[in-house]
Amino acid sequence: MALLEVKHVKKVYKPRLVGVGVTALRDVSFSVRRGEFVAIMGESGSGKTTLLNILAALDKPTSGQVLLEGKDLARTRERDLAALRREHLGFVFQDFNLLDSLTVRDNIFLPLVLANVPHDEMERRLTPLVKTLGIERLVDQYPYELSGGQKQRTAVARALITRPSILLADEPTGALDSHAAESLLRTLGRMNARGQTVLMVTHSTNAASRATRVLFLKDGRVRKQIRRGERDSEAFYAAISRSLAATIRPQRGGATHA
Amino acid sequence: MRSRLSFPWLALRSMWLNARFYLPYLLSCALIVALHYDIQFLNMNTGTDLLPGASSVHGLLSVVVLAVDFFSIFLFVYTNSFLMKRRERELGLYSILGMERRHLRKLLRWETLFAGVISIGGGLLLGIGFSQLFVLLFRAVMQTDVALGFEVPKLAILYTAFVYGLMVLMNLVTNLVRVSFVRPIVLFHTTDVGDREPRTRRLVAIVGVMALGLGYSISFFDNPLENLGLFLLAVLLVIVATYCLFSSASIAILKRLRANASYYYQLRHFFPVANTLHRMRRNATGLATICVLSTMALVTASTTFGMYVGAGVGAAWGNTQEGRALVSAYFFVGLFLSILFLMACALIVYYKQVSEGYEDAPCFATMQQVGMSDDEVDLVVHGENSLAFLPPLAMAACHTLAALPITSRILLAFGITNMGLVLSCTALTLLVYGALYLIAFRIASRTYRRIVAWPAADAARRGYRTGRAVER
Ligand SMILES: Nc1ncnc2c1ncn2[C@@H]1O[C@H](COP(=O)(O)OP(=O)(O)O)[C@@H](O)[C@H]1O
Ligand SMILES: [Mg+2]
Repeated sequence: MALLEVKHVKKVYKPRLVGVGVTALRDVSFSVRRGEFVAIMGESGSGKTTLLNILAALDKPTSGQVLLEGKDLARTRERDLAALRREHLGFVFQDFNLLDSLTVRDNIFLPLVLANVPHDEMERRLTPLVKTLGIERLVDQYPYELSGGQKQRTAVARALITRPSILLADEPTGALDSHAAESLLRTLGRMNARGQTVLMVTHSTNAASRATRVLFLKDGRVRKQIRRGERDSEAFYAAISRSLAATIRPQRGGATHA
Repeated sequence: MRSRLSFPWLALRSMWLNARFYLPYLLSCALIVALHYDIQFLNMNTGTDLLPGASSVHGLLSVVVLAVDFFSIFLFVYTNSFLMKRRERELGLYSILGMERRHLRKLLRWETLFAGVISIGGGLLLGIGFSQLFVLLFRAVMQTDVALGFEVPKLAILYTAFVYGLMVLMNLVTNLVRVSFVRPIVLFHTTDVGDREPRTRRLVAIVGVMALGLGYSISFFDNPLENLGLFLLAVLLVIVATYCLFSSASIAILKRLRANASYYYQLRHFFPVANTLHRMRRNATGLATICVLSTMALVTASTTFGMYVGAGVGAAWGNTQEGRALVSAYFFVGLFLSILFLMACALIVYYKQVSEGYEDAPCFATMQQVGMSDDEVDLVVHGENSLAFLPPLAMAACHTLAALPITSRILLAFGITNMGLVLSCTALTLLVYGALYLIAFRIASRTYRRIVAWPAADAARRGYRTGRAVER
């Protein structure tokens, strides 16, 4: 059974007053198996954030189904959704979304506090995690004292400390400089190598080239998907660029071959 | 191109776009202006001159006015810093988009001018409306013809406008200095930067304790009807002590709570303690203002109540015709002030909750995204509100008890010697006030809850935290 199954998801944003709605997702179907690192690529405005919000049960699809570990999100009560979000999903945002009033340590603890985990267990989980992420010396600092890359690592730690079945990341490198982005991507790759399932949406070819599978989203549909197979990141990068040229940016297609 | 930019228009537009932050600000400023005017209305009313003991009344009212002036300074600084923090990102954006500093200053000058005119003008109208309405209602309900009449003392208007004109000017200078010396990029990031973790300020705590001790001890020997200067000193000392203690002791206590892991890492304490601590420096002013207004309401109400009951129970002059007219005149003054303080306090509570609601909304959005359910949002909101609820009330009750010697000395001047009666009147006033305060807090907290309760997806999309919502 797939860990996550998305079946014919459609999302129309209804206008506030009258008029036609915005169709952000037309008909999206795909599935994610345990241990995969899936990247979903699409231009800005192609519905990536909408899709992630629906997967995280933060928003409801207009039609279609999302199954997480076989459970239909639409049929889950609001209270159980919150529990599901904190026990099965880890969310990493483009803008980090850390709480300014909490230290790094407390930001990471937040989902555990929500889950009523005893304090010594929190500390037990924290130590190895911050070490892997290279932020062990920052735990007593506040978000405003951190660089973008360090903030995003903190956000990743917060997402992973609950040991989620799947890590959802919305353009996690979007607000980072290339060095910090590179190091974050490497970390995500490492987490995946240890068995963490990752689903990332991005418009960066470089970010997508770290995944094991890439889906291309356009006009509210998944247009194509390619698998890494035995390719290394560079070869995969080239393959993604070619697919992008063919599906998403055909008019500019020629340039990317150079 | 520059000639196309009409700054007054731009200023109005940006106030409108920031109505969410400006409205509570204008409201609370107008309210304090109204409070100030209304006390002056009493003080300068020709009817007051006709009261026996008019000079004492004038003296006491002048002390109250000075006290209001005094804490208005704290309040104006507090609300202004709250507002500017919200606005700085936008100003930073303007400057990144190519507005020069002098343009920013011009914009701020217009904004402050409009805000000043609206809050002072609105406040005066509010104050005049309230005083007229109160005279009307009082005459209708008490069926007596109090000496105090439907007047609008010009001097009261001028004095109030002058005092608050100065305060507006003070804010303007602060804001101008702020945009002049801060790099635009800092302005742009300021909401992200947030407050630093406040340090425990031992010196401030010591000053607070000393001022409190001194203020309280004056209460034990001073007769305000004879030595007004000393009374004023006691009032100012207690106000200073209140601000000092709220900005130091509260931080120390919250830090201690945070250090206790088994207490702190519970959902209902976790965010409330961290968040309250985090903004305690600004928060302290709000809490202290609530405490000072509560104290004023409590002391006035319990004195008035004691006098009214005492006169009825059988003070020597309580039975004569003139005696009763006198009691109703003083009752008028006392009731007027009590209601005024109570309303001011309720609105400050409201202002505090609303402005903090907007500040906290992105945090709640994040917590919901991380997996907080609606019930848990309720729990956390409740936890946060209860941290803010009790301390000002408890401290106000403490001040009121410490003022008992003064209260009873004033009542003694009316021939009321029954200490038991004075005590039970004070106790009853405390109970009633506590209940009213609770109601005000409930209403404000419900508004806070509505503000922070965004559907998580909505909050995620609006990008509230990154300031995109501001330019919407
Ligand atoms: N709350 C909303 N109301 C109306 N339209 C929306 C809303 N959120 C997103 N959209 C629209 O849906 C489309 C997809 O948006 P989004 O999912 O944010 O794209 P992406 O994350 O790929 O940039 C866009 O056209 C956007 O304008
Ligand atoms: Mg997006």
